[in-house]
Parts: sequence; structure tokens; C-alpha cells
Amino acid sequence: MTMTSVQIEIQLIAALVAIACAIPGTFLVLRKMSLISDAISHSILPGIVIGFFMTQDLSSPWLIIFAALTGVLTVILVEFIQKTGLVKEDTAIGLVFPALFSIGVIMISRGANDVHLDVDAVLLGELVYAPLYRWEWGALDMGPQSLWIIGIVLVVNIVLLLLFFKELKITTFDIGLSASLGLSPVLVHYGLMSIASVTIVGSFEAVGAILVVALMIVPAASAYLLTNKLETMLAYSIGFGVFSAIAGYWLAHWLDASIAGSISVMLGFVFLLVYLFAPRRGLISNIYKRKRQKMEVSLLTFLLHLHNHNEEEERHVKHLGEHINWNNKMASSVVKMALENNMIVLDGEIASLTEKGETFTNEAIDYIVDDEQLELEGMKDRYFLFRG
Amino acid sequence: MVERRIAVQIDDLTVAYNYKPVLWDIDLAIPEGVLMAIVGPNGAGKSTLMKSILGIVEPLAGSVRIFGKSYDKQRSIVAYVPQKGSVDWDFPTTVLDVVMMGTYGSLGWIKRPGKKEKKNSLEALEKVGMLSLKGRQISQLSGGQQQRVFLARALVQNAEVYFMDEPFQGVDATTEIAIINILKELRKRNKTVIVVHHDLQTVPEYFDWVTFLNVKKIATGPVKEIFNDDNLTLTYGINYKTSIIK
Repeated sequence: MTMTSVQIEIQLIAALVAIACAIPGTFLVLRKMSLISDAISHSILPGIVIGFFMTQDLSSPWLIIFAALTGVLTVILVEFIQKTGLVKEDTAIGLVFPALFSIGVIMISRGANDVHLDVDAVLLGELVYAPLYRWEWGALDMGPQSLWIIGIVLVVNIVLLLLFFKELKITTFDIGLSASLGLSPVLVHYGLMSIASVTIVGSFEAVGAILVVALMIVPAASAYLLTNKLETMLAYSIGFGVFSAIAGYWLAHWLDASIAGSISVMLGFVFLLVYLFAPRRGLISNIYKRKRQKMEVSLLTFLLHLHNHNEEEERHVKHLGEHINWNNKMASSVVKMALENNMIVLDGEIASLTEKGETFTNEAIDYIVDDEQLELEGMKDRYFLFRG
Repeated sequence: MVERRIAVQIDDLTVAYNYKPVLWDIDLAIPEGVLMAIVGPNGAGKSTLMKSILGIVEPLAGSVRIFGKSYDKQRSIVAYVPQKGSVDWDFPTTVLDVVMMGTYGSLGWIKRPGKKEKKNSLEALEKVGMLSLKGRQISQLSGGQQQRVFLARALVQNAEVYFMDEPFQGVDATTEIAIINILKELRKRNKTVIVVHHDLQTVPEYFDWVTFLNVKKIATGPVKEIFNDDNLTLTYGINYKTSIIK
């Protein structure tokens, strides 16, 4: 099967939208401002409508400018309400965006009935139709309008990211320091909000107001679980976004369903996989880690007990239950682990520390007394715990 | 003794949050080359004082001068260590990267840190004994190590005046000693170091200058002369020596 040019165009638009969204999305997630993108994506509706009424042209750049202004207005209103101290931030967000959105809905239903601007399209996007609206230069077909719009938005995002990467990083990590260094966090904050607004508007046509939030937040949230470097997090976000966009397109093709919906399903699927299987921060690795830590602490407790008690009855493995209050299963697995690691020897049923067990225990006591958690972690490697 | 220059001059500084004064009409002159503690009860405005000097909090009235000029003009000779708890330690970045942030001020907008900044940052990490952990993710640091990273980030700014907000909070004894030794070393090089401090017991040992603060300034001067029961009682409202049941 060969792809038609329309199919290629749709996928290209979807991929560019995904990249454009992943860039501001990464910083929104790190700034714990995910909900703001949801608010912006809804409250820019009146901006789009006003722009449309003024120009009577859905592809006018004024729409983007007005929408971006409404987006920034949303942020200003939320912060204003929050600053009064009477209402918390999440409530302020919940107050502002339905108000602005409903104004937009009323404006559409009053004035734009006869034109192509319906609420469904705004909410869910219509990627299928994107290739129909084309820009022509003289007689020359320049390609779909939305491809140009998102392309320009993406270039702006990339240029700003490259120029202000350092500023974005420091204002996100440490507001106080950046303010004292003269790298204004307020300026960067509103810059980022403007860019997020512009990106949301630019992505609107393709994926709509609701799903654009998914493209901003989900790839970044997945990437966050996989890396310790901001650069890598950005790269993963972009990768997850593009993958979901393309895979989502084909899922929609196969199911004969909404493209935007399918893209979001793919995003959710990617997040689920990462959430479960991420090597260090995933759910499964966390459960395993907690179990392991419990075993380690138990082993140490057992060794300390042997270290502190010379009397044979205290060191009787069958009596661990009475002395340290463990059930049989727990007791036997701890004894087994101690034996496997050559920390103890058994004389009949009486356990004693080996030389290795003795030094291990002494070292551990030192670190515990000095509260040096990391050294304690390092011991596991040095003594090959859990490696037989 | 030669008359010392004034490093930080504060006149009539008032800061209010929602019309409630947090700092009221503060006059303060901090001489160059002192290691000064700011002490006072919770809510006395210690951190706020620091933040308003650094232009992070907008004062209602008053002025701040660093070596005779406004803070805006003197940014490059001032370093700031915020409270450890003020940042998200799960942020995806490494120890070295955080220290490099100290160089962002001298770089200004847009310019990226290069080889020189990296070299200086590595040196600063060595000074605080954290060089071996330079590539570690910051969420895997202990409280003491986090504070050392913050200190290295201030050192890399190579400033004349250092402001530190509770650098000893939540650190172990080894780190506390390591930090105070670095601060004393800075003073020896005639740098001015201003520290928000909580542990009154260690004031005479660590610092040579002290400011008592409780919304208003109670007293400021050499520890030897003014660190006494009278000022402590004025600041904290109780005499901490006689109030503890013997």
C-alpha cells in the first residue's frame, strides 16, 4: 500500500503539532502548571471568535494573535484572583476558563451560525479536512494552510527554546536565584504562557481544544519518568509526541475513527507503558524496590540482633519470631539471604556472624549513626548484596 | 582600626504582605568583611529582608545600597543561596548543572555557559567536597549534599557579598562544619557574608557580627558586644536562659 499525498500531509501536520506542543509542555509539567494549558486551550475561544468576526477569515493571522492575547489574559486573571488570597489556584483556574469559554460559545451561537465555525470543530479538531484548505501563491499550490501555520509556530518555538533554554531552566528550577541574578522569572513566565497560547491556537485546527492538552502534557509526563536530564526529557517528549501522532493516525485509519481521539489513545497507551515499566521510576520497579528495601532492612536488623546478643537462645533461628517478632516466612527468607551472602554461619540452629557479617554490620552501624544514607546504599554494591 | 567600608546599606526599609508589615522601617549598615548572622523568631522577616535586598520582593518603602550603588548595578558582585526547600529537587538535572547556574548571572540573557564556566563550576564543587558526585541526579542527594551544591553554586559567582538563607537547615554535623569553614575562609578574603541563622548556641562561635530582627531591627553590631541576654529577650520576647525549666 502506498500513502497518498493527503495521508502524508495529515501525518506531517500531526507530527509537527506534536513537536510544537511537546516543547512548552515539558516546561509546563516541570512548573506544575499542567492545568493552565487546559485553561488556556478553552479560554482562547473568544479570542478566535473576535478575530474571526473582525476579519471574516478563518485563516487570518489575527485569529492567532487574538487567541494568544486571550491566553495570556487567562493567566493574568488566574493570578489576579489567586493573589487576593481569597481563592486557591486550582479554584481560580476553574473560575476563569469556563467564563471565557462560555463567552466564546455564546458569541459563536449568536453570530457565526451561518459560517464554518462550529463548537465541535473547535473542541475536537478536524485533521481529516486540514489538507482541503490550501494556500495558493498565484497558481502555485503551496500546501495545506494548517501545515504552514503549525510550521511557523514550530520554528518560533524551536528558535526561542534554543535562545532561552538556560533562562527557561533556571526560572523553572529556582525562581529566587534567577530573580537575584537579573534573569527575570516574570518575563520568562509570561513569555512561556504566550508561546503556550500561540502553540495551542496553532494546533487547534488539527486536534482541537481538548486533545491539545494531551499533546502538551502526556509526552512530557511520560518523559519525566524516564530521565534525569532536561535535554533528554525534551527529546523524549518530542519522540513520544511524534510517535503517538503517527501511530494514532494509523489507528484511526484502521478503526475508521477520529484521528484526534486515536492520537490521544496512543498518548495514553505510551504513558501507561512508561508508568508501569520505567526502569527507575516506574510502578513495577518501585514495588520491587520497596520489597527489596524491606528485605535489606530486615537483614540488617537480624545481623544487628546477632551482633548485640551473645546468648545462644537469642541466636536460635527458630526463635526469631519471639525475639524480633517476625512470622516464619519472613524469618526464613531473611536467614536464607544472610546465608547466601555469607553473613552468618549456622551451628545446628544457632546463628553466628561470619567475619564478613561482622565487618558489614559494624560498617552499617557507623553509617546509620552518622545518617549517611548514600554510603549505606553504596555498601550494597560493595558487598554484592542480591547478586548471590 | 581602619574605618571599614559599608558593604550593605539599608535605609528605612518597609516590606508589607497584604498591608501587614513584615519588616518595619529597617535601618542597617553591614560593614565589609564581616560574617554576620541574622537571628530572630519565626515570622520575624529574616528571609524577607534578604529577598528585598536582592530585589526578589518589592519593598513598600526605603532603599538598599550595595557598596554605595543600587542592587541592579551590583548584581555581579552579589551571590545568593536560597532556602534549600525553595526548589524542587526532583527537577531533571545534575549536580554540575545546578552549580553552573551560578554563572548564568554574569552570562546575561541568551549566552550559554562554556568551558570557562564549566571549569569554575568544577573547582567550586571541589571546594565543597562534591566533585565526585558531579554527574549525580540532584534527587539522589542527602540534605547536606544539597546544601553543599547550593554553596558551590554561590562560590562560582565569585562575589563580594554572599547572602545565605538558613544554610545549616537539615544538614548533618560534618556538613555544618564544612560549610562554616568555607564561610570563614570567605571572610578571611574580606568577603561579606550574611546568613539567616536559627541556632543561637552557635552564633558566638560561627559569626563575628549579628543582627537581631523581629519585624523591627532590635540591634546590630559585633557579636562580642551585643550578643547578650538583653537583646535576646528583646528579640524573642522571652529570656531563653531563664525560661527553660532547670
